[in-house]
Amino acid sequence: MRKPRQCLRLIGVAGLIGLLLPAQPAFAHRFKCFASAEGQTISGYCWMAGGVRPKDVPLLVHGPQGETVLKTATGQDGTFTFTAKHRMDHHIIAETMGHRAEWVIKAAELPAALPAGSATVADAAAPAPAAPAMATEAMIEAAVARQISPLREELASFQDEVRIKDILGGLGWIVGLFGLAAWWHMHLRRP
Amino acid sequence: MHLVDGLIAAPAILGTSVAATAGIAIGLRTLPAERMPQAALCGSVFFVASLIHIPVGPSSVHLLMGGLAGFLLGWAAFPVLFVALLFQAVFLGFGGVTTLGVNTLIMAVPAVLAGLAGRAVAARPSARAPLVGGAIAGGGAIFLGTALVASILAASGEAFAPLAKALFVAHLPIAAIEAVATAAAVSFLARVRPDTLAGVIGPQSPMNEAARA
Repeated sequence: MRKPRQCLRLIGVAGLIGLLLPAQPAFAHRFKCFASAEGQTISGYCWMAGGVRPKDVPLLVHGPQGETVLKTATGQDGTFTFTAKHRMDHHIIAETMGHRAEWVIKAAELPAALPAGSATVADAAAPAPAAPAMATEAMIEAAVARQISPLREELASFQDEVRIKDILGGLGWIVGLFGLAAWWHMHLRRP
Repeated sequence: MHLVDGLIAAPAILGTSVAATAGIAIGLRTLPAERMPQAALCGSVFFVASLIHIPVGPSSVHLLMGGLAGFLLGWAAFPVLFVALLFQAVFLGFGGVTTLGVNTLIMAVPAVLAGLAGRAVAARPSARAPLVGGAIAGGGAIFLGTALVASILAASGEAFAPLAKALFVAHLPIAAIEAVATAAAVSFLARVRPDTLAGVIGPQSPMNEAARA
């Protein structure tokens, strides 16, 4: 009997495809970037779908008015580090092979001891020496930043996840749209 | 190879969107009601295929399965891939919304071209013809796609030759996998349901003889 064998083959092929899906980590095919500030040091990494961290990705860091602060690239392990000199928003933009990712380090994440303003303002004087109270505060901020950084990483990757409901939703819409189109063809285009 | 918002200059976006709209219009005319289930299937396969990632060196690439859509549907691959790309952007976040036209062109033009080439080969009166035709459609769609992405990015300012080479090399494993997958799908259909390929491949092919028998 041919029919059961055909059915079995179809089920086999569908099962193979279904097996492939959960084998991949649930990342969206996007190129994303994450960075965090610990004190003055801003460090981060870029990642692609599948968790791969590409190296030698060109990075452009610019301030809130669009002025270029720094041009760098990710290292051999896919991470990057640089030191912030001013307490302002740092926009980190990574571009490679048709993919683009952006992350913003807000001014509030940087220590208060840094001079405010943008990179175009000349450094008039060195930052005032920190009073003891500010030194404690800086230590607390650094400790909190260290604790929170892994959480933020997890949040960024969690937001990125492709969930089964997204897949089912998309498939449902596709099948539904073509069903509607078929109905339209049959009932409205016939004379 | 889904391009995101912000990468391509506005004139290029406009031009490619107009071209994509024209392609979709042509494709809609060649999509009869009987082919809707196939269209839905190809759209769904394309939608899901981009979730399957293959790590390649420092980065990773993903399956597309546009070649199958081009082989089975011809020009109708345009509206089908557009719908799939739209929902990939909405539900999965692949690619941008302003770049839907560009991405449709990138996926559909290679699919249609490779599909037509594959059909021509599969029409030959040989038992292996569907297999080879499917492989050409699957692998060819990827190769043409990388060339098209490289030209579009080059038109927006990146250097063409190194980009094309990098994309091409990165997508070689994908091209191989898709050639195998599309060949398997096409030969499966040829053996099991030749009537679905009746309108696709020429009258002298053995599949259509089986359908007529």
